[in-house]
Amino acid sequence: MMYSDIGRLNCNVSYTTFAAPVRGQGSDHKEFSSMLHKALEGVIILETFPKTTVDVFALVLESGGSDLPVVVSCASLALADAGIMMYDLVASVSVSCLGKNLLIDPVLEEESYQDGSLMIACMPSRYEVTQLTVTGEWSTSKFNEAMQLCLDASAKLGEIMRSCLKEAASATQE
Amino acid sequence: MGQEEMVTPGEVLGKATEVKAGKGTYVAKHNGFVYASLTGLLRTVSPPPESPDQRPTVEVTGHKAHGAVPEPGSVVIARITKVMARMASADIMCVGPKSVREKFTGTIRQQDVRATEIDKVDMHLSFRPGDIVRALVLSLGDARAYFLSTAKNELGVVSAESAAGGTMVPISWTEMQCPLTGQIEQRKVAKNES
Repeated sequence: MMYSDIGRLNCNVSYTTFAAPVRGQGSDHKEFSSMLHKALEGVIILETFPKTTVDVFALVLESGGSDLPVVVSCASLALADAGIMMYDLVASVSVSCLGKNLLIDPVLEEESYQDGSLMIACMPSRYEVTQLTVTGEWSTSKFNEAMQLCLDASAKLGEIMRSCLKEAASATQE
Repeated sequence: MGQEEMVTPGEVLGKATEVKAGKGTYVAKHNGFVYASLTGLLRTVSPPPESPDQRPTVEVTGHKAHGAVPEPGSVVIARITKVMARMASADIMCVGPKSVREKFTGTIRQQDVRATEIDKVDMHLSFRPGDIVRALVLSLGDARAYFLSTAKNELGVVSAESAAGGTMVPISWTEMQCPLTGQIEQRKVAKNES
């Protein structure tokens, strides 16, 4: 292991063989680990952990679509609950474009018919984006609309995440 | 100040011009706001009346106690595991008064054992495996271990077992004696803080 003055982040996303409707299909999730890493590395205050590594392991038990945004949001909650110093929470939401329609939090079936998808991971209270992934075909107006939809949803998700965290923290305190 | 409130990372606690950022908080450079960086209870500490800076300090104490981590400048209690010609390895057990949760290893190099005659130090006449030492963390060290130092009067061996199995009594700053056999062994003894 190399010496490092700041902490390091190590992420891994894996699927169980029974996660997807078709058994044992989990080959195209290889890039999820690096995407999770990119989404989280901006929010952790790595300067506070010299010489140490923060491990984040995500195991998807049941995949129902919008997996990566869920993994990112969950990981951020886990880090905050573990007492890791962070600039903000990360709330992540994806939107699928199906013809003229925009679908937020698409399920697996909707994802398979999508023309394009957009995923945003953002820090809700700082209003900064940590990761943005776009695939497929988008028109500029549709894209703008989708992005605004994502950011609004992230802000709402962030509030829910905060109240969850507070509930869990208050429960352990008693 | 008594009132306590639960906060989560990213919550705005105030403006940097009005409050001071304490532990578990940070100041964002781009807008000058103070944010929380931990999940836990928010506390506002009033400044001492004579201080020139009259901003109250906000700090967040984590709801889960973090294990103690050694950092440069902290005094640790360690158990010697291996003594070599030029250095000794030790497992750090306590940082200040707190015991560590994970295993941290440290090395005491020959030149860091005592403050004087540092080139004449014999490691084997300073430490033995199993000795409990009080040491200062010099630096984060290399990838494997922290660098520790005992080059101060109050640092060095605080507890050691003799070959006969008795806990030895310090008799000078370089010697300890076994109460069972009367045998004298060489150590870098820590001065008792009393």
